Amino acid sequence: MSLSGGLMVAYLISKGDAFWTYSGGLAGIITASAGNDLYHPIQAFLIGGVGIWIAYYLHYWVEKTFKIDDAVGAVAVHGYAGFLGVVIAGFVLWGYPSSPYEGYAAINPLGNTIGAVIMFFVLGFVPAWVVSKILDGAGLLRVPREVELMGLDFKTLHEEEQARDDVRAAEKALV
Amino acid sequence: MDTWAVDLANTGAVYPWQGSELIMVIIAVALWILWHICQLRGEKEEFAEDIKKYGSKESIKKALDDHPV
Repeated sequence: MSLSGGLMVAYLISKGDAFWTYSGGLAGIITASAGNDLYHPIQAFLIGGVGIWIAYYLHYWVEKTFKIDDAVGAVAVHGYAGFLGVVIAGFVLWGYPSSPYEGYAAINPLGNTIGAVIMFFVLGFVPAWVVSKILDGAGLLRVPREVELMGLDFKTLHEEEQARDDVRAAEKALV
Repeated sequence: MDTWAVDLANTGAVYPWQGSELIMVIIAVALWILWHICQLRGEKEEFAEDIKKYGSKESIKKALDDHPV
């Protein structure tokens, strides 16, 4: 149901864009996954739809505002939708026990939001940022600017074109 | 639910907002129908625009020449 919700909402907001429609299905599952063991199927359907709806607009807002490219939408699908899923679970499952043992707080929005920050920012963003800085410092993060502009597959395509010309020339020589 | 220390054999539904199943079903069905209305409307507009832009005989012939079967 969360897959359906994600697919349907993504189709509408992206005006039928295939990339976002399928990504939306995945984002729907990811948004509902934080509480999918407890949600009613229709709740999962609605939450899946809400997740991709926010993640889609957040993706373009971040891209335009911070000029950060998310070419395959992975940060939107896994990051934004995942973060939202934990926050939404805090509201929908508010008051549910978080553990079968005594002494643990019940699920609540603040706890889940703090949990989401720890999960996505502290354990996700920070280590990736540190590793990226190290790679950048070693000159391993980006390809040379010229190669970036011409495209990583330029050589392959150029060689293919050259081979096609050679075959064409050989065939013409036989005529 | 206020505790998980229960015998699941004696436990019914565990999802939140119990008692509002009918409302949720109505909302889901309404959204499902609305989605189809939006989808069909959008597709119709898109096709009408395609025909307006590229629907002339010349355009179709050119497209057939560009993509031989």
